[in-house]
Amino acid sequence: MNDRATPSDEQLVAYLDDQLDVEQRTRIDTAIAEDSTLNLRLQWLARSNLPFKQAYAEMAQQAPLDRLQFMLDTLPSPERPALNRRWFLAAAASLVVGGVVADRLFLGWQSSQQTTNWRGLVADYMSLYVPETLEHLPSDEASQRAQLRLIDTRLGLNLASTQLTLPRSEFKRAQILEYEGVPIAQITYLDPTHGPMALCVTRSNSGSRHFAHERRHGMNVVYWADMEHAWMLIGHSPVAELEDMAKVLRTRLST
Amino acid sequence: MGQHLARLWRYGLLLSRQRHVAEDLVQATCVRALERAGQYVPGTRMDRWLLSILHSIWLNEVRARRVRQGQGVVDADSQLSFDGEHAAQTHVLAAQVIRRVDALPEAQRETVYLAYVEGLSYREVAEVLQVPMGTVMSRLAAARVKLAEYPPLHAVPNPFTGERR
Repeated sequence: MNDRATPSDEQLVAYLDDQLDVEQRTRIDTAIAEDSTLNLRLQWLARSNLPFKQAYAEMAQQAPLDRLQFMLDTLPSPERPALNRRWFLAAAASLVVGGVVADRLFLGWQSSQQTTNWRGLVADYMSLYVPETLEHLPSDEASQRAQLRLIDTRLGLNLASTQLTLPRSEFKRAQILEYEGVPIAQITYLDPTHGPMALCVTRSNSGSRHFAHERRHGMNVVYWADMEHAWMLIGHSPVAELEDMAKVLRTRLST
Repeated sequence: MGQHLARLWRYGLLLSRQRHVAEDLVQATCVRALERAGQYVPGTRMDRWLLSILHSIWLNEVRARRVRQGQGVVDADSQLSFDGEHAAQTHVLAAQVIRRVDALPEAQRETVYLAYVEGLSYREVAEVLQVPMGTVMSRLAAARVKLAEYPPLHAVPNPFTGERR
């Protein structure tokens, strides 16, 4: 390395950041003393000194700590590697889903607020679910109750887990997917034969509507609406079975 | 691990620019940390270790998957991080700093974040990001050239004394 070379921006920044050893530092001190344009360059670079730590300290205060702590508290214990492995795979799967769908949902909501579109967004999400995505989830009553309370608050509902039980499929998790302030509740079930299934709901004021079906990503969808919400049930079950379940749910949910 | 949750979330938000993804990243990081608890060297900084796990999950799984699917990465303009009510919660000066950092390309953004927000040394940044030190230096220099071009922060009554760090 040529000691006489003009220090680069990288070296000047390292100088500002106090990341140089004594010898390198002395060399730059000397170069600055001899070269006023270099000194100006250093001052220019120093303009980028900003109160980074303070700014991001404010951001950290916005972290949803309650939810994160709850998540951490309900992670399976690390003493059970077999279960752990499965949990991890499932979490990785749901993580990827979250990332992919966050974009799709967001773009979708931006480009169109049509009421039909939300079903496509949910279907995008569900098409990525496999049984392992849901198998590991804790299904204790307390956490499910807490999940439902969150949905109630966001969507103006009053859900009870007894209204949501289905004969064959197991209730696994209720969560809010939220993009641009538009919340969609997703209540997932695991059917022993047909795999993941979900009941989803979002606010809608386009009026009450009777059952209709469609297919999306190879899954069956049964959807309906009441005065304030649009609902859909989506899964790989045959459409007749799905509609039977939808009827049960709709009756219970409208009381 | 609990004490690091807010910082992990903040890093996840810096990378993904989406609150929902940030939460998922924290969860996956905790899961993997528990799974690999045996690899954690007692006496070393656990926060550094967790940051590096989160970084690798983002880079190798989430971001990679999104790019492969042709969705790329969310533009700074369309980000969800600081719109609406959240902007109101964030002090105006802090918001200016965060916006400027957010406008940097991802590699520079996270390097700036680890060095100047988390306060890591160049060597530690290089370890978390798994890149050579020279790369850390060139990213910081490029980022600082861009940041230097902005006018000074608007001088509303300034609660921050001094400048960087």
